[in-house]
Amino acid sequence: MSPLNSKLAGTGKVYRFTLKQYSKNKANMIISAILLVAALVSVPVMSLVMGGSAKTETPHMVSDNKVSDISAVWIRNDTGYDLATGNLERDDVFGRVEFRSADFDANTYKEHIGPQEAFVEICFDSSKNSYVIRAHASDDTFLHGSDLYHLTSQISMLFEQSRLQSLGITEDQLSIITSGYYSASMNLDEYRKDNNGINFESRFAIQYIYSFSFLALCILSTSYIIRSVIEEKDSRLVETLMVSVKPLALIAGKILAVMTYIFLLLVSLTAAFAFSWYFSSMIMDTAPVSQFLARSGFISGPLNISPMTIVIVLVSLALAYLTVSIITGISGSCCTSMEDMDGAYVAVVLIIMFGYLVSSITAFIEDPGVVTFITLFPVISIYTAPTRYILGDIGFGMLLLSWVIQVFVIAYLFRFCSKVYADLIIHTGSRIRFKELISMAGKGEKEDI
Amino acid sequence: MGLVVSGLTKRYGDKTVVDDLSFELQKPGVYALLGTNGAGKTTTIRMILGILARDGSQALWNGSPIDTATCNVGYLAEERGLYPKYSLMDQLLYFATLRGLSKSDAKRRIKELAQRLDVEEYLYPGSAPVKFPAFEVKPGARGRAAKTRSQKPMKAEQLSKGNQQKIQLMIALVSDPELIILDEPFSGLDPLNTDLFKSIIREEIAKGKYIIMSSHQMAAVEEFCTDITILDRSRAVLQGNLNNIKKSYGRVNLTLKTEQDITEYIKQSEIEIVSEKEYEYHLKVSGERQANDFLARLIADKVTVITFDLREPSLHEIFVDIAGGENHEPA
Repeated sequence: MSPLNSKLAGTGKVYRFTLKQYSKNKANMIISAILLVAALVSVPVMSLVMGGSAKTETPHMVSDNKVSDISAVWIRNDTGYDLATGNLERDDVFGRVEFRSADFDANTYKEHIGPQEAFVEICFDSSKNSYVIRAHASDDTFLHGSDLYHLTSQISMLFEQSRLQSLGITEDQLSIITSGYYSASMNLDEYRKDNNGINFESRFAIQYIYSFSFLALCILSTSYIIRSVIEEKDSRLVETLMVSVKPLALIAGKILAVMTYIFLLLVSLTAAFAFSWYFSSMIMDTAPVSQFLARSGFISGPLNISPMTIVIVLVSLALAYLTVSIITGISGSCCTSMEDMDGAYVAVVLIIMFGYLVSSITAFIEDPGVVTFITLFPVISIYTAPTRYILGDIGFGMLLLSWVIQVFVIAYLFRFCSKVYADLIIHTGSRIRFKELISMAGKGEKEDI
Repeated sequence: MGLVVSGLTKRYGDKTVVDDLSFELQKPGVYALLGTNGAGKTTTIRMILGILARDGSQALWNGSPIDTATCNVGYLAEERGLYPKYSLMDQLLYFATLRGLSKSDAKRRIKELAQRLDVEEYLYPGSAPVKFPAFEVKPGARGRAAKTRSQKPMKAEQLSKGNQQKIQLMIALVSDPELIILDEPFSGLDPLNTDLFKSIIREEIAKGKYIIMSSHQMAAVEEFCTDITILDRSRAVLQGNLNNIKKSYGRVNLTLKTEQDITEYIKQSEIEIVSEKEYEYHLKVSGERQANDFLARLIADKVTVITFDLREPSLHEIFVDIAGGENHEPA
């Protein structure tokens, strides 16, 4: 048996035992159950809070390129500006919608429209000194709130064009004005856009959401890992264990078991969220949630999330999680009892927060030098490398280099972690301070760990 | 073959904790490591087991450095404990499989040890006979619930200290180790459990096991050990076969019981009185000759002697003699 294999002998047994005990732990069961329930109710609750409504027929989401469910739109236009609804009939979304002129008003529309029809009222509100466009559906409507929202925005656009044309502007002039207006918007947006056309909000949202999700994962894991590393010392079991298993195998088995436990918990939560989404969309309007996610950058066309992107995110997460778990293991190894746990926890959270804050603060910086630095520098890179790749700031080569550096850092940290754990395994004094830890790092590896 | 420890030395900075300690266990039996608190006994054991780096010195088992792979060791540590919140059976199976036992072998061995140490009721709740039938939970709505609770696997935190110690001894012996190291095995045990532990140690000796024992309970150690090392301030100050060591001291402990006061005779013979109670005298003589002369004089003066017991010093006395110098902290 090679020296490394000899040191790792028993890792699997430690791993299985630790994982089994974590799964059987009542407190863990209760926390998992609460999180699962929260994930299951998240979509319906979010939908209700964001204005979704109960649905009575075939469920589905509405998106920009989906054919509208509206069969007919009754328009009462009291403004004198004619709407070119024919333009909408050539549109992919409203191509099959029939636009009719209504001779009834908002007080009586319910007597005239069917469950799949909408009524749009366009008038001048003198109290607000403004034109108003309102869309209504019947009480027994099959339509989603988003159908009406989409319809209103299209009618608004037509109304705006009609007002411009009423000034005597020709189609060509209108086209120029429209494109000019559009170009002006582009100029403003360009300042915030990157090369892939991802705007500032999406850029920040993607970095923020990735970093925050990872931060939450780490903070959730940290206390588990520290507790797991300390428990043998606290239970005075270390010496009994040391005649059966080497410290390296003990700490490796324990860290991997906790990582697996948290990973399985997250997979369960994701599955519960997906189930919640699927089931909720069958019985209620979840479009507000999807619109919120789209606005937050989760669903973004320019990102083009492919299977490859998912693989890259998963690999990056695995490396990042391993890095943080080992740092946590080192911090836990410096403790002698559960009383030391708070100090160890704070130390790890500070390191995690450092990477999180730097990644969030630098989210909008596109300077190549800064991007290279934050993509390669350990601890920061675990937050920034995958997002910068997805945003198109770095190529795959740079991402690969970042991964290689992370692998080296993980190897070094793990070696150091096992040394600290072995050297301090029967240490009974106060928690080892950072200065002493650095001094230990400077010394050679202990002969027999 | 057996265990060979040579040149064991441990230093922390300028402080030497174990200084050039060597000894051998060439045949099965009990070897005692004795010493005052802080003399270096536990450090010695930790170095033998490789828990602490040996710093160039050697601890060989059948010619190979002692390791988890080279020697099946059972260790009852001085700093001992159990996972408080985990099931006892899970813990025992864990330690057994770590020692290389299959799950079925581990279960069989645990069952044997549980019977021997009388802890079945904690490891197999519901299956072990109830010790106190008068307190058995009767069926009924609450009774059923209580019974269900009583059948749940027990955790270490639910056991008394003595019973936890039995589980710890089970962990040490679960792999049927060839080398057993017991660091203060009797500390915290009541007399009944002390006797139980002693009987198990006797069984292990009979099975031909090599045992290293460290204890402050000299009488208990004296029952088992054949060879000893007494450590004093990190150095071995006395080593060898216990009988030989005792012989070297000679028979100097005299116990006399008479029917009348013989204090004047003792003073005249310049014999040291260790203790005296109701005409029973514990005396320290210079050797067999002085004791015999004293007895002859008592008989000549018609003193009725009920008991005359001349013995070598006990291990306790030897230890106090060796380690009880002026600069020692009380043990």
